[in-house]
Amino acid sequence: MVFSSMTFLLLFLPVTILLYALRRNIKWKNGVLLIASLFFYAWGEPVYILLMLISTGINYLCALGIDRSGSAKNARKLWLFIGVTASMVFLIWFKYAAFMVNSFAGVFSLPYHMAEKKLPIGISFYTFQVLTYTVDVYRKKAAVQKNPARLLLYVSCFPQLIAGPIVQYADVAGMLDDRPFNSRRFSEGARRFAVGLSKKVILANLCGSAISHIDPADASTVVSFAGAWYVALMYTFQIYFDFSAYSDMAIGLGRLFGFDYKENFNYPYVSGSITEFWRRWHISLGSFFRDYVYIPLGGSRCSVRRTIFNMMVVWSLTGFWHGASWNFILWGMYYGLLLITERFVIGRERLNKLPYLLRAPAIFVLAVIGWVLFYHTDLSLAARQLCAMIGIGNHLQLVDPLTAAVVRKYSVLPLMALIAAMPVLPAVRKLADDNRVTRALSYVAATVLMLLSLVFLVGQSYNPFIYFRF
Amino acid sequence: MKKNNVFFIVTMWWFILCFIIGASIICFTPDIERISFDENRVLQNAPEISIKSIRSGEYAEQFESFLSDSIPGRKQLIKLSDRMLSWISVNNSDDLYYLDTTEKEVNEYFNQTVSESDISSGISEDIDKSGTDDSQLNEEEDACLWVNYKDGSVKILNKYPEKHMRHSAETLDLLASLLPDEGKLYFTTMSFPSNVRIFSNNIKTASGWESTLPEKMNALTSDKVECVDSYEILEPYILEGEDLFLHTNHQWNDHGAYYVFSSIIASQGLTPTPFDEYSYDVNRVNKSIYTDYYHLLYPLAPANNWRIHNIDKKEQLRFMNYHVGSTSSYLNGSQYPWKKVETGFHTGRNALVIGDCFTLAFTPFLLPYYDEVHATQLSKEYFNRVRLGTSVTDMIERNNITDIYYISSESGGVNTETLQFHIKKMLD
Repeated sequence: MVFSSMTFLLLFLPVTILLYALRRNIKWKNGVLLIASLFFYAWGEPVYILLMLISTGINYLCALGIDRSGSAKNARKLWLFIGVTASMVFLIWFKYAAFMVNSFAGVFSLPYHMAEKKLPIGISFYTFQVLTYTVDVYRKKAAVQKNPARLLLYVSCFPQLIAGPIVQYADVAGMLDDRPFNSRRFSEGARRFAVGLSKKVILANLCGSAISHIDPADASTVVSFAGAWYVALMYTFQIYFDFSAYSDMAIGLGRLFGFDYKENFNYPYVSGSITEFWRRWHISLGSFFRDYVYIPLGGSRCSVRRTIFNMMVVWSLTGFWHGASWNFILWGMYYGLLLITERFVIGRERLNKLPYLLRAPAIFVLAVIGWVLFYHTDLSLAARQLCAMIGIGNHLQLVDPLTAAVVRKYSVLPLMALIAAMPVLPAVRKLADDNRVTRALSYVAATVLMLLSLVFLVGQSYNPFIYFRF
Repeated sequence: MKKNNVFFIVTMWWFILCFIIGASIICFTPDIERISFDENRVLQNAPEISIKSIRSGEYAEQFESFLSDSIPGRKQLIKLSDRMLSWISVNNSDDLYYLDTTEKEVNEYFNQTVSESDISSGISEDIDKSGTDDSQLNEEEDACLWVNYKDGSVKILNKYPEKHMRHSAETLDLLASLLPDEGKLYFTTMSFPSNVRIFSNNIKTASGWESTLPEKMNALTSDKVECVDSYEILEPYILEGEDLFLHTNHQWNDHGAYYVFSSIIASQGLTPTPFDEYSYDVNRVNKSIYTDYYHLLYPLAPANNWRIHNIDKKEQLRFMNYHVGSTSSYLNGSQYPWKKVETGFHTGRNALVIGDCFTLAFTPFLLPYYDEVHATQLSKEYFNRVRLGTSVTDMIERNNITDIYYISSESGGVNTETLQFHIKKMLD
């Protein structure tokens, strides 16, 4: 189930809220949320719920093992190893096995092809979440959760289950035992949800619709210079609005049900450096890789060579996390190289001396180029589009009629998207004091957005979440 | 806490209203066939629950469609959504055409192609794109359609200048070149009934009609193109007084279509399915002076054995919409850029029917002979590449089309820019 579906909006969410609000007892609330979350996951893919249950169950037992091992380091490590391995086995089998085997067979010209498995929804997200639990218990950063239902609730809690943000166990452990549910949190959460829903339904879907007309992922599409840039730009906006909308909705729903999830996006396209970009984009993923991969590898407190190695490992893994395809690995490495260049070649101080108005557009263009790699699983098509963007290509046209038609059709959309990707709302909020009038206006706006979203949802058939597949 | 109560109540009501709508849909949506005439499809009813459908996720998909399709005021909401999109300049109507060809471009094209071909002969001539007014006929090169009268006189119904045939032949060859080796393109055009009646209404004085177009076009095209002489095929039936054309619309009826179809199928070495074996309903339309009986054909099996797609919306269309009661009842006429019928037969062949309203009665006969029958109208006014999402070439290759039937009135025929020019652009 996705948030922007009628089933969710008209039935699932209202019923869950109603049941949740029936009693103040935290056991009741947790029970309602757990059952709702399992139903949410099972709706559409009931079989794969077993994977999540098994993965959580194994990690529950491993964390208990770690806890009971006390100060016996080897035993703790063994339990950690079992927990991490068990979780990763599922992820690797379903997401990466076919890619690895087929790549291996391709390199050695072996006559074997492994069929790709159907990817269980949200496996990348909940695997990482359950890992953070076991690792946090191992690091003694969080106390062991003795109630398996609460651990399962942490892993499966529907607001963040299928597309994040990746919530670290230590951040929400306390909220599983006790959390507030009041009118202020409820209304604020609902308002945030409405903003996210409208961002998804209106902006992200329209950007996606514009791209779908041209579709440079189709080898037969004639790609012109303008078409290549147009698609890259619109995808840049689509993926931002799509994913940040999901995070907005997740954070809003979390708040509504008493959870405080950390922000996952902070207007990344205004970044003045690549480092800043990644502090603003998919923050929870960046935090995960920093805390659970980069720092354990040694981070930057080692030689330059080792730091560069660590960075490349982390960024390759970041790319690989997004999908079992070379384009995602390249995309990750692209950012790894950019960050290494920024840090060790240009230098952060020297970069910061450049005017922001010069840096920000440059970083935006680099992000746009990165999304071209991300968009195409077929690298030859990515190369074709990148070549077209720099004016290289056989019989390359400046503008093709299809792009011209699509630009005309969606003439205002790029401007709308650009404005919405800028931190306009926070600026307005800063100007107008957070008083009762501005708050009331914000709720009027949210109500209108909610209604508009429902109207658009009825009129739309194009409604996929991009991050649904990760 | 009190300050927030208003906001809480407002937001709470969002969800209460949502729930009321959702619950109402479940409780009050009638379990009868509901048709959206605008989309020409059956709206989704509450799906039947089964372990298989739940496991496969089909139930969830159908349930979502059920809710979307059953929203109260759905039609108005869709219109409102379209209107709001137009406010933000997103043109959501169907008036966006890939072929935004200007008159200048057409002239440039014709001037270029003519000058290239005429350089060798040293002839320079003006291009008349409409073609129908060519007063002088070059009998050697040009083609003609005429009615023969018993007194030995003739009446010319149409003329086809050589240059028009040449441009059209190029287009047909281009289309045929997209087919596999064993594939073939069948081409035939037919006059409008107003022209046909010059012959059919005068069978006491007229002895027949003839066209030199098929022969000339066969000479100009490759072996993969077969130009069928529909005039010759229909002539004996018209002379017998059989009514083969609609009075209330501009195309042949199912009998006219069937005779041409059976001739083409026989030329392929196949046995034409007898007309009587196509089960059909009869709709009477237009109670004024003329009355036509539309035979709503539907081939040899219940219509729901076919999944009919609108490539754009990827939704199921009704194969026949019996509520329409006209030729538009077949796959909603020409309103979609590309239609695909999965026939349920297993012949290893896929057909593409290109044409206009003449294909509406023709296409259903093809279904038993192909795994898939695709249909499109490649006129500038109807074809919409943006909605199709790709080129015609790609669609032909992607769908493994083995045979193409170009069945059209003269409005999509040799003398038109559609066949001479626009389709070439659509293939890019």
